Amino acid sequence: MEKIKSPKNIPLLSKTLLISLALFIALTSLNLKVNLIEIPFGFPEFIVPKDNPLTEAKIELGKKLFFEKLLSRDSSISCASCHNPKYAFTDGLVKAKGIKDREVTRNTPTLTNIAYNTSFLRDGVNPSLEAQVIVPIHEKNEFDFHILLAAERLKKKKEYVDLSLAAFGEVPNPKVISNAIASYERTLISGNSRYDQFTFQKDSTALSNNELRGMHLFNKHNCVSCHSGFNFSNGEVVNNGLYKDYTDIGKMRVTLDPKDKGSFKVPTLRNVAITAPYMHDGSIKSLEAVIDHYIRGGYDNPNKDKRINGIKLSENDKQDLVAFLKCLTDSSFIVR
Amino acid sequence: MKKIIIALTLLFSFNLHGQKEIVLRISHALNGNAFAYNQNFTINGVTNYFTRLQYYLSGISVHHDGGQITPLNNVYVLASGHIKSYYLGNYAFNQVESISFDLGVDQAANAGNTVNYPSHHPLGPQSPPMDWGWPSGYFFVVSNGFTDSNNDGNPNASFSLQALGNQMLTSIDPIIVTPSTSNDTIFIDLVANADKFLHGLDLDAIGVDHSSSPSNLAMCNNAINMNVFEAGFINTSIENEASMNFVHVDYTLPFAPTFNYHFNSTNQINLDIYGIDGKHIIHQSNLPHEGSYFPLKEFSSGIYILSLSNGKDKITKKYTVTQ
Ligand code: HEC
Ligand code: HEC
Repeated sequence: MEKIKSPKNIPLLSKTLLISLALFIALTSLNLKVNLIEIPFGFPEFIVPKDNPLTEAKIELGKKLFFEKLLSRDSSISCASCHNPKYAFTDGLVKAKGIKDREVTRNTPTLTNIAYNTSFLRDGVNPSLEAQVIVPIHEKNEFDFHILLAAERLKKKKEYVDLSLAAFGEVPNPKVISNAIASYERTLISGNSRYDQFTFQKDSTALSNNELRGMHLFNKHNCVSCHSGFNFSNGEVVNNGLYKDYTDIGKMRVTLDPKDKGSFKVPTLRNVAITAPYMHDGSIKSLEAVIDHYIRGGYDNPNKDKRINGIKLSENDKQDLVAFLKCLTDSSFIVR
Repeated sequence: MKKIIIALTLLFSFNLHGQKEIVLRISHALNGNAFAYNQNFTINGVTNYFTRLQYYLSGISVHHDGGQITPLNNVYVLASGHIKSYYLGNYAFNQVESISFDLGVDQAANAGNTVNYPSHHPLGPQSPPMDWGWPSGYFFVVSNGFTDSNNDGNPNASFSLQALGNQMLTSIDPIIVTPSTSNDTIFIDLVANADKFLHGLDLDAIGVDHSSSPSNLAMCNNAINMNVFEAGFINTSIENEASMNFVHVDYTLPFAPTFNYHFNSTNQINLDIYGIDGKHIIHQSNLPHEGSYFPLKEFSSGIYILSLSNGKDKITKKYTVTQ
């Protein structure tokens, strides 16, 4: 058999071509990532589900849907009515209000850095951002609507059909709604507070002495054992002793395990100064009052986490700890 | 040679010869009679009726042709009290001997999201919803209705049991069946004794319970403990045929009711909805002879008229929409 000889430089050329092509692809995809979402200094990458990769088109559609009142039955409220960007995606209310002023049983949580969460809702019982989208749409006290009817409404609007085709190659349907909104929510990254400037951007002047003392107290008094890491949450669902007897049983409503009674997800403390009132039921009005709760060690109940056992703080300490919590506010995140 | 191999492969992959359509036929029963919504039955010595009965079957395995076992992967059945026939797929079975399945949705699928399925898929978004949302996960069994709480023989107090959570999954041992075959279809006939789902449950005391509670677990486990499922067929056409055609309006979403209907003959159905002023609002043709219809349309509050016809029989029914 005769082999056809090829000049030596051709494979070499194709090799270089291949490598540069690979490099080009790698670089452009890297660029894309950086363009889509800037991961702040000190933050890890977050996980995006394989079946819903982030794209510019999905984020654009998702953002529009997040502010879209058509998703509620009487077209009166949108996601942003409760998750208002001005208050770091909360509403300032003790308990959220849905259509026709119906009261929701819980306080609206922030969506700050929600991309890093691995479980959703106050009690962490929902497994994905995509799945969570349907909750407010169907919930009687929120949108009181149905995802199929919401999709029908969007199908009648040319702008949504166009955006949906661009993002998914499909006309509006339940998957489009849930995947687009989840994609937008993943862009809600906040990592430019004065705390970040000090810790990750190495600006030693970013925090005052009192705030530094507060940070020290936050670590010393073990707040950091639950509110840990770059996002100030270890993701655990625990009982922080808010009550002796809980009316909202927390995670137990799903597990029915009495050990889960009153267990709630450790919330991030980013932007906490503007997300009052606090806790799952909005029962604590101010950060000072939250600190008082931890000074007291909460109320005894069989499920109270062992790490909550009362701490000793002077009035000055308390002020410094609050000052530290306030420097977790990222003003560049709030203006959007 | 190559060409022959390609031809053979093509022939092999497209050859459906020897394959049969496998249809699971579930005759739902109340106290041994054909199932109907709003029809009184007794269990635990109490009179009740169902307004909604739906459940999932997964992990289906068919034993056929002398002891071969074929798991029907990714086949899910969303069964409803009024619906008999569920198409399971085409398989190269000649003789079906028995069938086994799990009541509920397997753990992997139960962790998924409804929106990833097309809307006609059993695991896709349903109306009324078959998933809870708060924690994601499907309701394995939904049984809603009324129970007699004051012993006058008339069900007056509503109950709603909706079972949720992986631990509810209930394995049903192989049920030996005597299938009937017609042309290229094998019908696997089961009777589901719907009343037995509620054995031992104090429905009045339970009221509304959408959770993984012991009551919901008991309801699911009744499927095996009380032999809800058994081989058999209830022939409804012996009775007055016209009276067995029905439509039942499910008002779980009062602003968007769902219609559950059943016609005895297998002719396709035309559906029309009119306003009370006679204005024609919706026309839908070629619907199956039994099913659930959720109009993908928003109606303003008021009274509407639903008309279903198979060319021979016709049912009209007034229903209300409350916004
Ligand atoms: C009526 C007010 C209201 C509306 C409208 C609303 N939410 Fe929420 N949201 C809440 C409340 C309250 C919770 C906490 C619920 C719980 O824990 O059970 C929550 C929780 C969440 C969470 C989980 C946060 C976490 O930390 O786990 C996400 C994500 C979310 N909402 C996104 C949305 C999206 C997307 C929409 C629109 C489709 C929306 N919300 C509409 C009030 C609202
Ligand atoms: C055992 C774990 C744990 C420890 C230790 C802990 N927390 Fe918390 N923290 C929680 C949980 C859980 C919640 C939410 C409770 C709820 O939703 O009812 C919470 C809520 C908060 C909130 C309210 C946030 C919001 O958005 O509602 C603040 C502020 C807070 N903690 C600060 C602190 C400080 C300061 C310390 C140390 C003195 C501390 N925590 C120690 C678990 C802990």
